[in-house]
Amino acid sequence: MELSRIVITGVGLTSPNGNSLSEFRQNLLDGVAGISRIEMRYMGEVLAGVCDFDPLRYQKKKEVRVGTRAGSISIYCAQEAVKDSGLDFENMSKDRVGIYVGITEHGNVETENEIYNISKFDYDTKYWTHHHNPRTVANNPAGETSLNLKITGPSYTIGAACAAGNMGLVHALQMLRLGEVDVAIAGGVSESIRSFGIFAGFKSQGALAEHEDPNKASRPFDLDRNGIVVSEGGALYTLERLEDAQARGAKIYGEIAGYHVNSDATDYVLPNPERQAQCMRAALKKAKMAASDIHIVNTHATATPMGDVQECRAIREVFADCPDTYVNNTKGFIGHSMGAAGALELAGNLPSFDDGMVHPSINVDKLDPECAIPNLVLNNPIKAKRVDAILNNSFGMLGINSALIIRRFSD
Amino acid sequence: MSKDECKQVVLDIIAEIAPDEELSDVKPDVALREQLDLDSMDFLDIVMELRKKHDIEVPESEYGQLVSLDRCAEYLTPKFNALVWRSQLPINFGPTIVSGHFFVFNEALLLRWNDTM
Repeated sequence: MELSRIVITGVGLTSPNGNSLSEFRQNLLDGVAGISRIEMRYMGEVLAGVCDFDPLRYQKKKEVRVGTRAGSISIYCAQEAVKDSGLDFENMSKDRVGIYVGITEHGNVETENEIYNISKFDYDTKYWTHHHNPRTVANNPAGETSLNLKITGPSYTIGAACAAGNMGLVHALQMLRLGEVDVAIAGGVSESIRSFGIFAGFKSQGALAEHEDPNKASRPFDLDRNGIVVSEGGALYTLERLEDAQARGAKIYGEIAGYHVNSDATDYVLPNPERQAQCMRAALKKAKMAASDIHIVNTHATATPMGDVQECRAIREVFADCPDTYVNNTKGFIGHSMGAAGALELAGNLPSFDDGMVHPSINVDKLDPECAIPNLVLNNPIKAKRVDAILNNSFGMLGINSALIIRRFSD
Repeated sequence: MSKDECKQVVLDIIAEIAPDEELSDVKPDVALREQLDLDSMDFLDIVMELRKKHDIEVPESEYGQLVSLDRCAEYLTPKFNALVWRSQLPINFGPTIVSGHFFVFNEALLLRWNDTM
């Protein structure tokens, strides 16, 4: 059976260093990071990636008050993606549009806020807000987006730890191929910086980054890396079947050529390079591509001592003898945007099809010898001979792995 | 507290929960939902803010009393003044809040309340 080809026709994003694809990309090429120090309930100051998009561009004040931060991020990204796509959105059938939003977690922020609220009333639950349940249901960001854009097709979230951004796109591709929808708005979002539990959990795990200079705290592959900088953000794309996109003369950013998702089944938090390598190989097989056909591998590496080494081991194995394959990482600039990471980091690399540049991994002062894989782009962007395909890794806790391959579009 | 002061308290709450609304021309004798974009969740917010900020409890069976600013003033002003009166008593006569049941998900009650709004 010949499967439909699925293409990207619109991009909307917010990241700690940019609220549009062009701003984000420019900052990645210019070495501009976006990490700051924020006050965290019960913990004092922590490092975080904070987005400064204007939610009131697409929401009323009441919608912002009643809804969640993840909802606002999702709405902003979806609206921007739809606008960018050039779709005649006003006049199209909204029941044929699907929303598939990857999330690492949802509800922690709102629950923590409410417990804090009732702590001011001697923990009397009659002060617990009636907004709690619509705010914390797992489909919240997708649901708020459907309300905002009046989309009546399927709208839900995909929970896949920090592989979720890729998973939103994978799921959208599958739904488009099944004919369930004609347009998918898909990717991932995160509001995690508003939950002290996320920070405290990483801190207890010994995996929360600290550095006197916030913009140097997230340092994947560096010998002195000391953990994750948690960030918020989002990236949603419009995806369409190729024939539909071509029929309306859409701009095509790239084609999803292959993907794979698998599970380690080995540990709650520790990665498994063998399964990661299997995941990348399976994605290449689905794309009918050789490893050497990939020109950029965007790593998941979060700057934990173990995680970076394990992923480099997997990449070294899969991409041995691939002289034109460059390897980079986006988290040095924006931290780990959790459920948004896969989708946001892909967006940071998509413009490489046009400008031929490969953005670097920054903050690598002393490269960890165990991370010294060939063609790792460090600290400064490089001009590639050509960029025809990007493989985007995103891995998550409980051992979920995803690899997504985007190919330069060509008839 | 006068009735006008009571209306202002309610308007201040509405300004917080419905920040997009223009409140300078709210007619006191017209149902709030007829002139403002308020839904049932917003009215629950009004009830919650009265509880949190002012220790005023509005039992479900009396939600209909909040239909308009005039009705709010009629219903709430004695409650505010009773609070002031209690606070001036030399002895603590017990809880100042009349306990009432508050089932957010009781659709029948919400509908009934909405009908009255």
